[in-house]
Amino acid sequence: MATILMIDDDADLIVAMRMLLEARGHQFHAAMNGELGLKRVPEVRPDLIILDVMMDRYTEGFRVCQMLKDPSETSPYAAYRHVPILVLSAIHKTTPHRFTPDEDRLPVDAFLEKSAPTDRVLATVTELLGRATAGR
Amino acid sequence: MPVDDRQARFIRKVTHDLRAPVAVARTLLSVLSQELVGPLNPAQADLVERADRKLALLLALVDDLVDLAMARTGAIPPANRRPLALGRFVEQACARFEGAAREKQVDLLYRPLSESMAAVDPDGLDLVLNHLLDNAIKYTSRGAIHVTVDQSGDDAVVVVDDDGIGIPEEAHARLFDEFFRAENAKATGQVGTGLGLTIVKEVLDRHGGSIAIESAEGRGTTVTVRLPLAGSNSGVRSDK
Repeated sequence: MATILMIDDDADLIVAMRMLLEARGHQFHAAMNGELGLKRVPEVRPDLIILDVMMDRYTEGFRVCQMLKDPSETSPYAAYRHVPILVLSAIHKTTPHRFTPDEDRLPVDAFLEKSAPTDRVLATVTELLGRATAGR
Repeated sequence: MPVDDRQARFIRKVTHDLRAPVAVARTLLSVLSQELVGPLNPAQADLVERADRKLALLLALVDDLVDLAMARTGAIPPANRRPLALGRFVEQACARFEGAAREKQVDLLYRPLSESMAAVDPDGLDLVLNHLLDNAIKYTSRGAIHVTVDQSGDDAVVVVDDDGIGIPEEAHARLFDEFFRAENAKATGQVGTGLGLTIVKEVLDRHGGSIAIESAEGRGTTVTVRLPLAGSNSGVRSDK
């Protein structure tokens, strides 16, 4: 089973996701903002990161993505660049941001609205973990 | 009057702050319904399901009211119209709904009949297609939904044709009224706000487009959307 790090400022969602993912045998870790999340990455060495967008700052999740996927050789997160990122956000589809994976702006592997049914969220988690394992 | 950045930002912030707790509450309920904290008796399971349906309706209402506000306040202004390869755009919209169609075991079939460049704001067209495809899938439980793109005269034409429950004759005159839902739509138990077609018409009216609906109860629905072709008299060139 996998190690999953969730970065989200909603304690209630973290409670729910912890139960859903631990029930499927995953190890679950959480951080309540982007800065703490980035600190936790080398500590827990996640197989998958579930990331919110709007936390302390409006686009905090974007910043976290870009730091994790930074292609420069000196990036402190170079060892985790391959870790798949699932963005789980409540930002409505009519915002000017186009929420599809985008190498430059939003270098993530999947985007889901927080309103997506949990079975779809869990299926996406399984798919991303499978893809990451196959790519190794 | 177009909304300024502050207003648009305010709408986005309010939307996020309204949606997030509802979405999280539904996730918490799903922990209960999956019995991860202990088994539910049938009455408890029924209550959890009812609570979840109410939250689903609230979420749909928030989404639709925001869509309507964005359309009406000018956050999707006709000035943003630009030539758009309609076939590719509609194909992408259909791809987004493939999963939902599959879940209902309905075939969602897209067929471009011509290469049309429409003069439209992409956010506005997104709204229109999202609501039309969502309606078609929601109210179709067998058969297929055919989506085509073609052109006719100065118009690009998108047709969404489904084998769904159809619309009774007496409901036709009120289809674009806010919060109106036909009785047979309510009877399906599907979550709906009665705002979808109001939003679609609002966007199309502001973008020089039109919508026509042909339907009979039990015999499916055909929705025809017309948009000005790029370069036509009512298309983008006339805005310059």
